[in-house]
Amino acid sequence: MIQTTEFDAIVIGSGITGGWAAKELTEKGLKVLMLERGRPLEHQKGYIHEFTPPWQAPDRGLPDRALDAREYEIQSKIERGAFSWANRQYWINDRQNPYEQLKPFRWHRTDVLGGRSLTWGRQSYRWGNDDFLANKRDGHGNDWPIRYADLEPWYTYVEKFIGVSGAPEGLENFPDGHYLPPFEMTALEKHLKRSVEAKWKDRRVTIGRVANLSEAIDDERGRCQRRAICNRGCSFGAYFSTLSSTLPAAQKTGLLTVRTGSVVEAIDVDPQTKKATGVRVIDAKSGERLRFGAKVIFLCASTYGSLQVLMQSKSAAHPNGIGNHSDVLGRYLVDHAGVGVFAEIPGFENHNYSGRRPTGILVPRFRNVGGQDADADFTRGYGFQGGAMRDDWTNTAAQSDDFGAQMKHNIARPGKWIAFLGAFCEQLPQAGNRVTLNENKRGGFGLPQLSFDVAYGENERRMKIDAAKQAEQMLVAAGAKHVVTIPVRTVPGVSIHEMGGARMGHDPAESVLNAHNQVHGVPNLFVTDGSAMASSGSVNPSLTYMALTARAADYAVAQLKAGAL
Amino acid sequence: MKINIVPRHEPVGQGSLASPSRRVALGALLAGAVTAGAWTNASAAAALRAAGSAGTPHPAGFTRPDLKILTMAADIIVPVTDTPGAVAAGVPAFIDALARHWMLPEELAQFRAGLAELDKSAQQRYKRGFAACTPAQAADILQALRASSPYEGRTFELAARIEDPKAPFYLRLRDLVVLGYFTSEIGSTKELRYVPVPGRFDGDVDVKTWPYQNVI
Repeated sequence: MIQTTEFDAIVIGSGITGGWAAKELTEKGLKVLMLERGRPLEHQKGYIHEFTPPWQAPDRGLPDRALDAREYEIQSKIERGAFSWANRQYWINDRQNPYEQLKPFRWHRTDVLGGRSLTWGRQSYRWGNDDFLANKRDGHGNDWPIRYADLEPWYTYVEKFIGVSGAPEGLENFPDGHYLPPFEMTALEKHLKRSVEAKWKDRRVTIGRVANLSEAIDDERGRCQRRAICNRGCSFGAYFSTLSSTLPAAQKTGLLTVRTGSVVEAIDVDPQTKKATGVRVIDAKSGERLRFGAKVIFLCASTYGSLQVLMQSKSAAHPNGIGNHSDVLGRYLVDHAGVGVFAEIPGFENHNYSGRRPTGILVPRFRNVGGQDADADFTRGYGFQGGAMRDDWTNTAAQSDDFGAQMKHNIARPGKWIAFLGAFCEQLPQAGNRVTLNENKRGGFGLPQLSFDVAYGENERRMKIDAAKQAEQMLVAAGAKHVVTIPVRTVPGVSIHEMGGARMGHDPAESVLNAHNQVHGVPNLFVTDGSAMASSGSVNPSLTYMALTARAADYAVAQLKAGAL
Repeated sequence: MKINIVPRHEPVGQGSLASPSRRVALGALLAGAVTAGAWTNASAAAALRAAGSAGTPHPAGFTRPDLKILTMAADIIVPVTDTPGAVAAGVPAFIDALARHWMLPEELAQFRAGLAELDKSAQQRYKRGFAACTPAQAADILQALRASSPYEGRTFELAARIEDPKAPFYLRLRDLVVLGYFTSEIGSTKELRYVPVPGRFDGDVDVKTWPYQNVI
């Protein structure tokens, strides 16, 4: 094994949190090595299909069924079109990187520099104080060791850097942030907002808060061009990704080294000092094994990626992996269960919209807020995300079978107005929802496969029924005659809001990380991605990961300077 | 960046001619409106000539007679109107390419059998091949096939129905022609308004000022 250059810090992963860790640590003067398992990808130049028009798309955008079945069996099933001919090259090869599903489970992951910061939905919400109190109040899961007040300044800090477009609402448990101008609602969305807010005083319909620059905020990144093809990559740099935002900032310091094709096998811990000493890496191309040393390690390899590294890091002092003295590692996985409701709403045929908006609308959680609702047979709640737009030709054509001049004319015109609400239901933390290593099955690079044993439970089932009912009532209030409920995100993992497994907590006996994302007992190892989460809340989690990462980096550097690490 | 201003779309003979590019397009199609049928047939005939002599098999796609049937069907399904139709947009070649490398063996078999059935219907009804029918005759045959092609599925997006193994030949033919047309350069820019970089989003505009979809 080759011993190589020492760094002040190693950041494992280059996605949303890895990019943030690299930016913060380098800007504070640390010499940082960023390790990414996937291929290199260059901002702008790497977005090969960004400007490909429909008529030049392979098979005009029809899926490559043979290739997808053979190489992308899992990734090609991503909902909402986030996997396509235009960005297939960012996603991981499933054939070469298998995992075990004890129950149906989707692990959607990329394999390039920048990770899922390239393909994420960009919805950026602060969690409310009740989200951090939920575990303590109802006893599901462990108490979060932090509260909203601990993260509030860090939410502001990251919002100001990434740029979030949104509208302030003044709600207690749906905190407002630092926003660029909101995108406009469509005519039917405005009508839905008026209808819902008039009928229910505790409900709000707001525009999706999204990490797209509705206005330019600096000279580095351009203003959003309203193309809404973000997940191909954006040469304008108009949405937040590692490649457009945190990586250039880190590189500007001159203190960052990036090494792609670096599959982290394990983190070494010195049994005497109890500190992490470095990282063992398999070179993806050569298969060569390397070792890199550092004073501080930030593990930001995505929820399951980080759990895999921790579990693989076995030693005499950590026989079951780092952070696993109390068999909590890999447990309490949570995501967002879903249900979708849509309806045609007539009366807006004279209205249209132009351009493409890179966000939808949101109905913040209104169930069980400030106490249990009398008519709710479930605990916690859900929010809705959706929108109201007109069908396009791909929709209209699929709902008819006619041909000829009239058909050609009809399906090219703006179609029916459809309003859609999709619920994001908080999943209760359960010890039985877990991931383990299967040493008897080998996956990518000969490493043990992750084995998922995750299912939604009775509370999620009840919540979905309620969400469908409430969504129907809201659409009916807006004039819907016939409402259709459809299953969405039924298989765990599909929401790609994966959280937990190395949850934060006060007590090392029931958690893996402390209030500063330090591994209990390994003070110079920080884990700041989704695996740190002790519950799932009801809004998208990425902004919270960013805030946690920036906060942990600030703490780590202060501790390092104080000689405590 | 400013939004691409595209003039009001009006049916032929009603609207004002708002821009030079629109005027050019309208000029062509006003001429076409008079002789639409002839234009259609000429276009189809040219495409049929390009398809070559009868009987030569394609390596893995359609035979040349099949291509002639497909070309006629495409011309009826998305005809020339105030904009060019499926044949000008290269739809038969697109579907032939799909037959060579995209369709599953059973889909290709269904498609070939379906084209043969169209030809057989034309022989029975009009004593001539489908490709030799008049547009009205071909439309009658397609209409009859449509009426006898039940489909119980429900999809909200065209590609999903194209992949549905339960979709009958008629739907597969119709849907692939529609997809091929509306994703072609002609369909994207003449019938739809392809705006790669809108630059702005206006959430509530009068449909008369912007009577288009916002697809990419």
